[in-house]
Amino acid sequence: MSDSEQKDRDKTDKTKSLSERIAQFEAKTTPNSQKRKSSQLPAAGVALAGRVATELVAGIAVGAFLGWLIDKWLGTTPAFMLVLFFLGAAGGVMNIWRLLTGRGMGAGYFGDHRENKD
Amino acid sequence: MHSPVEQFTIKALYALSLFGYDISFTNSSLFMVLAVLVSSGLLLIAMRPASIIPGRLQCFAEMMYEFVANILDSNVGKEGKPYFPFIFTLFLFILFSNLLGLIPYSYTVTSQIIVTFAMAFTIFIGVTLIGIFKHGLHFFSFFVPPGASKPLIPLLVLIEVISYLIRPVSLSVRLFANMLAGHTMLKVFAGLAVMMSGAGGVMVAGSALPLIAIIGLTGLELLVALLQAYVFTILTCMYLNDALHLH
Repeated sequence: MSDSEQKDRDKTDKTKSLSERIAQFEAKTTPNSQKRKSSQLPAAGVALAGRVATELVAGIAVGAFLGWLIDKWLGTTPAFMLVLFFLGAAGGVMNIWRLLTGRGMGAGYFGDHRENKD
Repeated sequence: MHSPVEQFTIKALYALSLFGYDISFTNSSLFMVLAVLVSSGLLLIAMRPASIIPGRLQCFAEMMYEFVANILDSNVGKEGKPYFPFIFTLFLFILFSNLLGLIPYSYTVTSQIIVTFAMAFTIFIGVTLIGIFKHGLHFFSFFVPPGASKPLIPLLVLIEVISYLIRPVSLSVRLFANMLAGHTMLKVFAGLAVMMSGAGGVMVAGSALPLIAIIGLTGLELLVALLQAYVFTILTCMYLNDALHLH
């Protein structure tokens, strides 16, 4: 009698641990928003520092280059190059702001639009 | 005395031309082919036994797979699964180009901006197209910041568009600049060691210092090679995430 009881308990233990394991596995495989934000490597901080610098330089370079192209096309040297140089710098700062406020590198404000609607 | 930037010159190994364009097989092409062969060969050999209890090589292959799968999963989620082959290939190609470049007398493919820019620009175009196909013209409305005052909107949209166009440039410049700077630094220290040992006297003993520095720098370069491959991959995942999840 006690033998079969023991068996029953073993069985429930097994099913319990199995369901626990399934829950654990599901927690691992389904992405949650909390997990998304955490960086995966300890060296990610080093990577972040490098990104801020490149973003600024790239902004100015892209702005100046676009301006130069438009100037060459319209023959208005150096009007557009001057304007777009500063707009490019502004774009670079915008990217850094987005990076540091945790918006990720996403252009646009879809998250914000959605929050306003709700 | 070699210049520290001489290592970046492209030499044609086999001259070819097509419709007047120079498509020679260069040392850069050779190392791209090597990166593809080494990475895919390593994975094929590692997964050959495909045993339930993995050996060392199989463990390595599985860790690589899980590392990239985790990056994709935590940054994009379930919708990113169809893009896994591309992301995995991208990561391995950049990683092995960086690592092969660290072997003396080899060539670092990723130290040329045109190579990194071609990769970044392809990703940029692809991700933008995915966004447009998934969300239609609604995609373009994300250049308008919410709650902006009406007179400022044209200016803000212009800045938004430029900051979007910056992405491929900053993505490619980051990888290229890191590889270029690291390899130049290594060569500068190596040149210093050679010059000091040639100077005679006390300088010969002093030439040990730059040599020790090279050992440390090589370790650092190993970190940079891994880190930049990781950064390129994670940013690609983030861009993909933006394109897929614009609600």
